[in-house]
Amino acid sequence: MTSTADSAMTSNEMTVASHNSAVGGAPRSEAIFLEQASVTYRSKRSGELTVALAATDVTFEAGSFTALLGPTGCGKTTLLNAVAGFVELTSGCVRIGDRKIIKPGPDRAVVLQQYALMPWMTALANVEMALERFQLSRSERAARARSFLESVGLGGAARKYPGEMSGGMQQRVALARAMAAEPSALLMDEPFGALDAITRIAMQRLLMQLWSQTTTTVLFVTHDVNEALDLAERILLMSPGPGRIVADLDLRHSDLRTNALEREKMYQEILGYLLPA
Amino acid sequence: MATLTTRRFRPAAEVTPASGETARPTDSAPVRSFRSNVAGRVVRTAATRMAVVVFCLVAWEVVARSGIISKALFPTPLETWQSARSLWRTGVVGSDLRASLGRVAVGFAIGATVGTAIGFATGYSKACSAVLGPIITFLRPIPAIAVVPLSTAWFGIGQKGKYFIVAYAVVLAVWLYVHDGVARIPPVYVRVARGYGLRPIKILGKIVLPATGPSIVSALRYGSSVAFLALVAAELGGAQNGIAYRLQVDSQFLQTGRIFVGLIELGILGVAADFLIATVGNRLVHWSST
Ligand SMILES: Nc1ncnc2c1ncn2[C@@H]1O[C@H](COP(=O)(O)OP(=O)(O)OP(=O)(O)O)[C@@H](O)[C@H]1O
Ligand SMILES: [Mg+2]
Repeated sequence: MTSTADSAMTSNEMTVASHNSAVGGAPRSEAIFLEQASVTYRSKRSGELTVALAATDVTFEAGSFTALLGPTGCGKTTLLNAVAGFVELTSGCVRIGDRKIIKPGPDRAVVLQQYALMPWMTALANVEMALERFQLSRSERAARARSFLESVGLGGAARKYPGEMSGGMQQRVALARAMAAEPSALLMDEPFGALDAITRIAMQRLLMQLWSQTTTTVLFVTHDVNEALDLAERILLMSPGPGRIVADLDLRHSDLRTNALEREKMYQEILGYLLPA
Repeated sequence: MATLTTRRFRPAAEVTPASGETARPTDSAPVRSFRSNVAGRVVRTAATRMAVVVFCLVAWEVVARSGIISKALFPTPLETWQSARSLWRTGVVGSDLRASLGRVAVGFAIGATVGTAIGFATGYSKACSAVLGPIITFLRPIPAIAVVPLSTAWFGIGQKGKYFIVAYAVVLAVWLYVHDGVARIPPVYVRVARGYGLRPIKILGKIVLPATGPSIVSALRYGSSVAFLALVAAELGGAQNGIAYRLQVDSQFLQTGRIFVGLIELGILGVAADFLIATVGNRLVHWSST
């Protein structure tokens, strides 16, 4: 059903118009702080305790792009959900800017692997939902939503329902919706995990383009080492039992994208952390 | 029942490519063959249904003539048709239909409204569920026919009592499906909407209501069949007209031809109501794949 034209984006489709804030001025970005933050789950059936995130201190600079990388069950989603306000901390606190996070809020947009688009809304209506809080007029809201859809190459699909779109298109709508909310932070949990390899590369490029124009703080969960190396300025390696950060790699001053040898060294170093002897 | 679920397809010609580059099929073989496929399927479905009807009529005729069941008690299709025509000419069918349909329609409308409202309340709010849940759970096993004596005591044998019995049965049926539908909304929808700062009233209208849409359609379909069951209970419990009342009278005179007419009327009404609700409903929740 997915025609190649739908899923593989050509480069001229990805002309990203930069957006001003709906409330005027450029959208702000903010730093995120975890201070001794920990999450322990209690199983409802057996009462068994799982330390999904051991007490963690970490700061995500405003406008940075950080990948959370690690094997399944190491607490990546838990950390992200703690920042999103979806799970309650067992101890410590999470702050964004100078606000303590206690519940989900429009300052943090979340993009999940399973898109989470409303199937009863058109692509346009899905994006408009993120604009509800700005008190725009109806026509302003539609126009703004449309321009965000255009920025992900879906200007022509505004009236389609999610069920009529390919996975890649749906994820682009989800991305447009997230960007439309003008979040201080963009939280992505394996967002491209369900896409085919080519669509995935196109989406990665699109994401980088959007990010470079908005300077939103991005947390990007993945278990794909190459994806982390391709996208992130910084990689946090996580390990299970209890879930914790085991390494913090700064890639800002490396030239991994041009130097294949250095990239290979970094790749091996990461595997060294993730596959202890 | 699979034949009753309708899906909305867009003709291929309307589908615009997502990106501007792909050529639009203007006048092409694929479009035509798509249309003829659809037409072919419609014709095939209709033909299958006709075949089933004809087969049933023939089987009925064979059984009736064979004398397995006494001929006096088992009319042939033709005899039934003649009964129907005479009932129609004397105006009995018309007045019975009017009476019964009125009772079902009013009772169903009240029951569906109340049932949906309570379903939303108990599905959406834990507090409502705690208060109303036990009451409804207690009432659910009590069938409409058991409520007839109470209804007669309260309302006499007039219309109000009939509405009450039908509405009673429909409330319980509709409530269960709607409650379950609301309670089973994938939490991610509400979570996402809340995350984007939608107020609770908007979440109810833009997320919870449409997300429950498919369940509401199921609820109303089930509710409509229950409404006819309750109608029969209500009319047998004392009425001066109506399809089920007529069945009872005809039974006393062993007029099996007329009894068959009444049963067929009930069947047709039930199917028609279900078809109407399913068609309108599935159009409204066209995004749902069920
Ligand atoms: N709701 C929950 N109740 C109990 N335990 C949970 C719950 N959610 C997660 N866990 C446990 O917490 C640990 C971390 O889970 P988490 O989902 O954060 O891992 P993850 O790194 O995102 O894994 P994956 O790559 O598979 O998504 C796991 O051991 C998991 O079993
Ligand atoms: Mg996860």
